[in-house]
Amino acid sequence: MKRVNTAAMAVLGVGTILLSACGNSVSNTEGQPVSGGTLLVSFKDDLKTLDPAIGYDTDSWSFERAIYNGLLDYKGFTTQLQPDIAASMPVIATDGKTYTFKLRKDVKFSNGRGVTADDFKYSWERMLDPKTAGPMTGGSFWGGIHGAQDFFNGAATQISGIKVVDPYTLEVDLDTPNQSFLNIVAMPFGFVIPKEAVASAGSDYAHKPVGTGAFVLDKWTPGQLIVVKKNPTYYGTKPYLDEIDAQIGVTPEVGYLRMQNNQMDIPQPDLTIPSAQYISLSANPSYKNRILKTPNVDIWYLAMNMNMKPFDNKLVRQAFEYVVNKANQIKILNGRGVVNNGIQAPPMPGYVPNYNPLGLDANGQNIQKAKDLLTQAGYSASHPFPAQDLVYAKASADSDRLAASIQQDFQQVGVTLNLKGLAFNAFLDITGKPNSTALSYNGWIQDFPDPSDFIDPILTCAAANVTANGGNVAFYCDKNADKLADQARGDTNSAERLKLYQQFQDFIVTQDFPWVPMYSTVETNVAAPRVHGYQLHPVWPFVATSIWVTGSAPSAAPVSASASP
Amino acid sequence: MTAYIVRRLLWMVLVLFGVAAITFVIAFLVPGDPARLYAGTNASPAAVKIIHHQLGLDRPLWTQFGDYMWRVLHLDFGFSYRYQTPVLPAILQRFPATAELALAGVFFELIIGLPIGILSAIRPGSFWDRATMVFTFVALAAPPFWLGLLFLFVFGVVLPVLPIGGYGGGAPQYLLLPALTLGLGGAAYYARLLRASLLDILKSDYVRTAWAKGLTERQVIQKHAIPNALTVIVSQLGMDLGYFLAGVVVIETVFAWPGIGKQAVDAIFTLDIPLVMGTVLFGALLIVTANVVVDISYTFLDPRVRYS
Repeated sequence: MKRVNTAAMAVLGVGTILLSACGNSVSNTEGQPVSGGTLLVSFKDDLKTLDPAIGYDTDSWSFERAIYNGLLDYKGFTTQLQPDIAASMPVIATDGKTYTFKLRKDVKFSNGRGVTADDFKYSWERMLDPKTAGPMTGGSFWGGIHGAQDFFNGAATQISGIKVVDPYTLEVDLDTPNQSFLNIVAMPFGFVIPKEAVASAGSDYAHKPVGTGAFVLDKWTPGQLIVVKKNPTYYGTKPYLDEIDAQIGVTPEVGYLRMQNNQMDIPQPDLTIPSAQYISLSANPSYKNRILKTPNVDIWYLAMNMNMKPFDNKLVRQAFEYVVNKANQIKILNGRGVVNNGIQAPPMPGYVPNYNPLGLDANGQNIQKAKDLLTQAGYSASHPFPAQDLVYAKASADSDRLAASIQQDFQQVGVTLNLKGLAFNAFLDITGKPNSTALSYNGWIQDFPDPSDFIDPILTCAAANVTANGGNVAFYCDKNADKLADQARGDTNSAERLKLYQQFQDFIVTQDFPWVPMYSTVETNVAAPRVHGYQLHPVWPFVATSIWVTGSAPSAAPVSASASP
Repeated sequence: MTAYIVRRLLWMVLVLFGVAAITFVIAFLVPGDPARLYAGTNASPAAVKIIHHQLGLDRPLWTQFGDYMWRVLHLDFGFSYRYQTPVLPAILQRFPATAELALAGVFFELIIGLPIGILSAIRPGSFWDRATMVFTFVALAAPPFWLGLLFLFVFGVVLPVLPIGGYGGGAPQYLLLPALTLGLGGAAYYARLLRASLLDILKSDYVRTAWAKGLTERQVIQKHAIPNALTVIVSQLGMDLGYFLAGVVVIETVFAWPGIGKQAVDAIFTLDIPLVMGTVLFGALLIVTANVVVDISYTFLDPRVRYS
């Protein structure tokens, strides 16, 4: 998912390819786990919601992951799916369109009632109901369920493709095969909630969640504090922690200051460490070896709007592929990134390490080739390339520097870029409309770790054929590429499917050039010395179930007792 | 006097209506679709379109404004997109924290600013006067954001005698630094304002007469000069209090103080129009009320002032 405002922060993350080999470089899992204790974390902003049908940001997902469960989840700290509330992985019909899930019979909501297949049908239909006004309504990932479109437009009162076979068997029919459906099921939008809790809370369910997860919400004082406690009825492996206290409204500057003063365990656990704090912590002997790193499943790129001059000229787009000094971008991010010349990201299935079909140098450039291509495109000293606006979101302290570096790169080939930094909402608005922005600096962060998420929402004709709020900001539309994407989405042979996605990547990178792919970032986080078992997950923004704490709680943890006004 | 108050109250209604209208228009002129930010940036255009409709954003602007004002008349300020909660309770829930900080900030403005201003005016050109004027320059020039972080570092980390930000239920040790940061700039301004005002007054005829009558310095300053100089301070104080109560964004952000200022800024960045509208109206109401109270208080401070 592209993180609101925090897309900004994601720009800050980075590392080297070695990191994907050595995982999270965990330095604080030593010793035997100890049960009990309270973990103190901080968040800059208050949570939007704890309703899994609504939340679509890393803060909300951090808590939803602790409170709810779905049919499937990721195994440990990997991108491999495994059953969660499902008793086993689903049976998939040979046509790839019908999924049959058997449910565990020992799962209970925190209100004490057992979970059945009816609850999933209710939760999913509520999540997709236009009246709920959640982000998955109207189509998107779940729109391929048979009967969903009728449900969206009011022609049906329920989704015919979601069938309760018996209390512990759920069948889902898709209109067309979609191999990423299992990843979709594992998204927080697929979490199960009890109907009676929604009925009881009414429009305030966002603040009164009832789930099946390892923790239950104990207290939420808006703008100040969120407390979750261990769920005694949780069916899975019990977490070590008794409680997590999240202080709200704490900026990263203050959060990291508190951590170094033993007043905080983990500041802003769902976002990478901001550059200023990363530099400071890296120089601090007590913390430099405690910084955890893991590759973010993201890609940062320049998008060239193929419907607008001069980028309707393929030679121009091709020339731009050779100009950006990608290594410099990573230097600006304090080394927390890896050059990425493709459209897939580590550690996603299908990612090809060291992918470089254009033969770029170590910096990701070939300046002479770029000049030659611009000459072929008809540009010369007497007919200079028209100055372009480089539109970017002023979302972090690094945004201006990253854009300025690209501006300098293009001066080498005689192209003038005018930097146009915008607030995030304005950036989304202007880049999402057709014929509005010719050149923009973008990032895409996973919804789930599957190549389809890096193609369907941002590089298909369906995503380009919009009047506003589009994700395909290059407005790239090629029928042959679309066919490849359709074929790959439905291919039930995993190895063959990945080959098709690689063909798609080649298509983009070597033939049509809608993007200049630049880099993928590395997430960095750090915890106080008393925190153990803390690991970064490749999908979830924050996982607390592996954490245990030793020693006394941070000295500024009086929040439970005194936070209420 | 009664007629004056009624007239001012009617003006208040007009001012608030104007503020509401301008804010509403500006909120819709800002680039960006609130439905997109509500849905999440990866939401499909189809989902955004449905949410746009569900939030009523596809209706004509004047219809939306009319509906909004009608609901406001019934004290219904709408539903926050960002926080998924009714607006008025969201504001009122945070207002006590802001009020506490505002009052404490004003307290520091007065307790620091007034003595400095008076002592400087009594002994103009002295070492004390020069030293305090340097202090006022620094305090006025220092950005509150920087000053706040400096205080946190010194008193929270280096010494450490106070908590590093947070609300702590409004306990004094949590309140001290944000209130001091808030009050220092104002204190410096008040000191300069009072000094200038007193210097003028001390040269006036009635003060010279007081000296001629043989009053002591203390009597001249306390009974004749300060009461007259205070009208300037009261006027500014009313503005400050209204402004602080409407939310002091920077201070609340730096010190993780859960007031309405930070909430308002978050609302602006997420295009949470109902919350932006509610906060602006609430703030405007406080500022306008503070002004009316100040104007009325003149009649008590200065017998020459009469409203008819």
